[in-house]
Amino acid sequence: MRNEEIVELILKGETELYAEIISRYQNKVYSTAYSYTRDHEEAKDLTQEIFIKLYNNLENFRNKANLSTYLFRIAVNKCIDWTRKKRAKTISILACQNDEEADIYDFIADYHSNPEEIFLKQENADIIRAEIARLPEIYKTVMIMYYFQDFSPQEIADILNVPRKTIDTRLFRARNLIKKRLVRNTGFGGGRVAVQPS
Amino acid sequence: MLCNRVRKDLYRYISGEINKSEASLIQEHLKECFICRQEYERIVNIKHILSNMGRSIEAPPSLITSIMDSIDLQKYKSIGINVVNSIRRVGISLIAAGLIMALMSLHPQTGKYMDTTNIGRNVAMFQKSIIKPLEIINNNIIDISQKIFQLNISLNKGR
Repeated sequence: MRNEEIVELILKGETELYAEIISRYQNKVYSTAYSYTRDHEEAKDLTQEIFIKLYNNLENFRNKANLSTYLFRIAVNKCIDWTRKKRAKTISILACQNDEEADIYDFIADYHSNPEEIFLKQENADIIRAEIARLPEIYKTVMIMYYFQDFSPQEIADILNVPRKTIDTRLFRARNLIKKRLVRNTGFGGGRVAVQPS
Repeated sequence: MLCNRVRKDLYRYISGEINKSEASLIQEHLKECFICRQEYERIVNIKHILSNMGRSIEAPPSLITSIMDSIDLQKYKSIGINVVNSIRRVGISLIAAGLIMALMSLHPQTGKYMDTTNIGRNVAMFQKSIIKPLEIINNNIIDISQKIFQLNISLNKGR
């Protein structure tokens, strides 16, 4: 059954069907929340709030947009609100944890031994993730949506309700920002390529 | 094609959101430009690793139950369209019945509620002013129809 059909039935009183909507999107919403919070309890609370808000606003959604777009619009707004409220705490979690610093130094050592390949290793994704988390909000959101959640630029534009070209630019600038920060902080820049002029 | 332009379009190109002519221009550029090609490969690889990481994060099993426990399941039941319609139908019937009862029990001149004596008097007036004249008209019609019937019989005998 399509999402829109389920929503119509819920609005007619079959509210138990909302469990089906949750089961379709819970992992992706939870993973998005976790990308912001990097804390399972906080991600769970946020996910719960997101789905409750969606349920309470189902009447407003009717015939307006794709349910997934509407849901992730709520999700992103909730996550951004969370970031604003918890900014001080978040920065300390994301930027200053000792184990992450250690990861970066391990990585640099590996990087010098095998510069081209090491960047692509699974364990180094944490470094990129930490850098994404440090980005200004407008860049962080598009990076999370594009890289972690596999949304296309057009889908991100629909979710954030901004022109698609804005998303292209934000993705481009965010990637450059990350490369610059990695060069500055760790001596890593995604390989020699990153520091060469285009 | 300029490198910066290509690198900006790489994200849509990777997501398959680019038209054929633009895609072929990018492909041509990637063949010729080592730097852009490497950038393309890096984005694809990072996206692959991070999206796998994103997918590996799963919601706790209890999440559905705790959300379902937190939402108001009666919210749309009480305002469901069918429910509203049935309530509306019952409501209209009740209002109509109430109005009829109220009108029947009002005194025609004073508008005040009547006691049982007044109700009896009202029924008698109703019988006198409406039912009796209708009975007289009805009896007259029966008389006329009987006379026409007898006239028809006598005419047939005469033939």
